[in-house]
Amino acid sequence: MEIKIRKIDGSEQEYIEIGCHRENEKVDEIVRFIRNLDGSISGSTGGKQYEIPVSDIFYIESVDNRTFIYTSNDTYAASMKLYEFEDLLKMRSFLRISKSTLLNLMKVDSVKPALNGRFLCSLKNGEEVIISRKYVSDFREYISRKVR
Amino acid sequence: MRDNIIEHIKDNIMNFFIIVTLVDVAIFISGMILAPDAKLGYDSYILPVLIGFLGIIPGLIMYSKKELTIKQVIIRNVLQLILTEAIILSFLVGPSIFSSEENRAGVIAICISVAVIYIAVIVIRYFLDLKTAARITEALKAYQEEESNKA
Repeated sequence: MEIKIRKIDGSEQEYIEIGCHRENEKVDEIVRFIRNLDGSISGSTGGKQYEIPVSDIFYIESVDNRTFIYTSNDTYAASMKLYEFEDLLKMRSFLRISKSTLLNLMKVDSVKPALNGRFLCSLKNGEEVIISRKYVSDFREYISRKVR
Repeated sequence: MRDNIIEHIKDNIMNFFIIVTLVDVAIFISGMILAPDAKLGYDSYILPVLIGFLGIIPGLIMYSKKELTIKQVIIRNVLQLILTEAIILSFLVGPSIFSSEENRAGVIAICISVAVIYIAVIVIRYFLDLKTAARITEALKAYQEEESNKA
């Protein structure tokens, strides 16, 4: 596949064009990737596909080998795996807080202790997610490194 | 998994030092009430350390590689308390646990002390975690502000 990059004038709007014989899974994947880079992620609910702005995502969770995206009030199923999201969103304030949860730090309201060395994150929509023991020190280190 | 075990050991080491301190306090208080004139030898300094070590054995054994639910944590804590009572009683009183009326009172006093110290360790750990949580929340707010300004 040939890749062409053409510089355009600053006054023009940037765009990406894909030349293909037919729109297949590969093309869809490229589109999904570009949209992710652009700040949105594909998710489906009720049989419909949606583009969810990354800034609207509260956390992403893996349940029984399926991945779900949680916004303030909605839940979407995603086709990507949690580790793929982790890789994709690591520069966008997302941090792994347990084996199954990737949290948007911008959506955390406060942190409080739970039992057994774990901590509870109260989110801005009132939900609570657990930072498991293993990830507590990583979480603390990450935050203190960022605000140093 | 290795990280989990390290965290678990760190937790228990912290518990050890809290237990030793609390046992020291318990010996001081009960000694002042029950036998204020008693003279103790150097060997009595090792008792809190031994009790501290015995006290963390159930915690070390009860390691779980899975993340436990709140209910499971409570059940485990109750089992751990019972096991701790049994270990410390057998260490301090031995096989003559119920041999006399006097021993029985001592056994009850030890049981109560162990339970009080066990609960105190949980409460102290909770307050330490509370302080950590407050620090994390504060840092998190600063981080959010910084990131919002960037955007």
